[in-house]
Amino acid sequence: MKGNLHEMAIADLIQQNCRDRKSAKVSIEHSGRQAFLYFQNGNVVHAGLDDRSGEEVVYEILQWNEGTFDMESGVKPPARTIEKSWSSLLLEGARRLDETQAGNDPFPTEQNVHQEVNEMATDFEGLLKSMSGEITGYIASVLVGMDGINVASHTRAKVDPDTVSGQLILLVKLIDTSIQKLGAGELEDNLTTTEGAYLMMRSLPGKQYFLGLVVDKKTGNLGNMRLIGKTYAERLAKAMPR
Amino acid sequence: MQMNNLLSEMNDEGGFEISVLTDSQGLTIASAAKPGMDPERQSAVVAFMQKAVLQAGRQLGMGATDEITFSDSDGRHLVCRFFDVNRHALILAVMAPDREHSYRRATNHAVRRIHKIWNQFWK
Amino acid sequence: MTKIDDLIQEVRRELGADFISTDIVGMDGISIGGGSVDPHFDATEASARFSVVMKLAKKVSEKLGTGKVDDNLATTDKAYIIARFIGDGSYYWGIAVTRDATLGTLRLLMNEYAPKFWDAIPS
Repeated sequence: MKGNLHEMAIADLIQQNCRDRKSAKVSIEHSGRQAFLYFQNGNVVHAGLDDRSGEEVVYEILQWNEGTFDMESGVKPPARTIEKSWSSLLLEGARRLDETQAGNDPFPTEQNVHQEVNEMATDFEGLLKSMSGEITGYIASVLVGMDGINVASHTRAKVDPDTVSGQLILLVKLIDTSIQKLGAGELEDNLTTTEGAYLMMRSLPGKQYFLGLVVDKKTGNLGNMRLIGKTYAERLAKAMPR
Repeated sequence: MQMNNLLSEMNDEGGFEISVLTDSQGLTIASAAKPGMDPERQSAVVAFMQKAVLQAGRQLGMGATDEITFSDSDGRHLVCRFFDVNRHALILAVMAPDREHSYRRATNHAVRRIHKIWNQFWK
Repeated sequence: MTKIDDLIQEVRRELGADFISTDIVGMDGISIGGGSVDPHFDATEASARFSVVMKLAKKVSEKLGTGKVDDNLATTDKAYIIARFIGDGSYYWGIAVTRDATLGTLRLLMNEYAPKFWDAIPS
């Protein structure tokens, strides 16, 4: 499979291949440079650029937004240089990208930076936990960036939050694009009713993040879900760092 | 669950067959009902009635409507109480089985409790 | 007029001034009946786009283990857009209404007419 980084960002490539548990090699070309990513059984296990390998390569190429990629399935990695989970890689990559854009050193090593990120996640998780007590039939909630990074989550049942956020972001992005192309306004929320659950996705003000909710269909109430979801989306937005 | 329990207690107090707390879109926020009753339908219908009543009130130059009652020939009556909490429009609708059952005391009590709970929530 | 056209006219009458557009669409994205009253709302494009949305919604629900998809409701600042699978899921029914519409009654309407549309689709 070949593509363009305009159509599919590297973060999306990583997320999709890992969720689909692919084993593959992805070659990426950008401004005359070539990088490689190796996927195995749902994780990124090796990355190479110039004479470097490992996590730092991933963080650098996540900042590439132009170029082409070529994916070959079933290629075994020549080495294993990455141990971190794919979602942790993307989270760290997003954090470094934010700092680069803010003019800070893109490769900090201070402990307090990690602490700040962890504290933020804890605040959000606290809010999600509080919300869970207000929604009848609550199963799970996620706070996700529009880049697909799971910022925080809270689940009551045996539900994988990464799966929830990954699937909901795919759907909300498609619906958002469709709505925009139709000139039907700005998407506020999307509610999918299934046999077993209500799946709600609500954008936070600013549209950089969205709140995803999964509620049991038998015991949940739509009005309750929408009202509480809207209230907590506003609270989560207020808790976002400026 | 708190809201569902509140409505359940109100049903016991007032002898109601079904009660719903709904938003202005007709989507159920909470409900308590005897088996076989349909809270989703009741929520949708009362929101529709509110919209019709609002229009009628405007046409007649009347102030805001805070209650309507819909009675049938069997004596059953559907009572809808409209109120705002923190600028959120809510509807409490109860179905009383006959005219022997007074709804006012039980619904007044419930509306006060709902105000208290939601005001705390939206503080 | 086909039976589908008759049903569409009934739905339009029920929704009144809130109606924007409705279509019965195969999962190939092609509408077999319907249309829009808003010249700025392209019903043909909407049919095609939302067939892709519904296919993805189905996949998402499978991955999450939440069962078959009933419907998808998108709320924008201008409209409500609902797409609902009908029958065996080989078609969906899409409706766009203004934000003045009452969601609860719209859902009741769709519950009532969905099986009628399914019966009306030629085999």
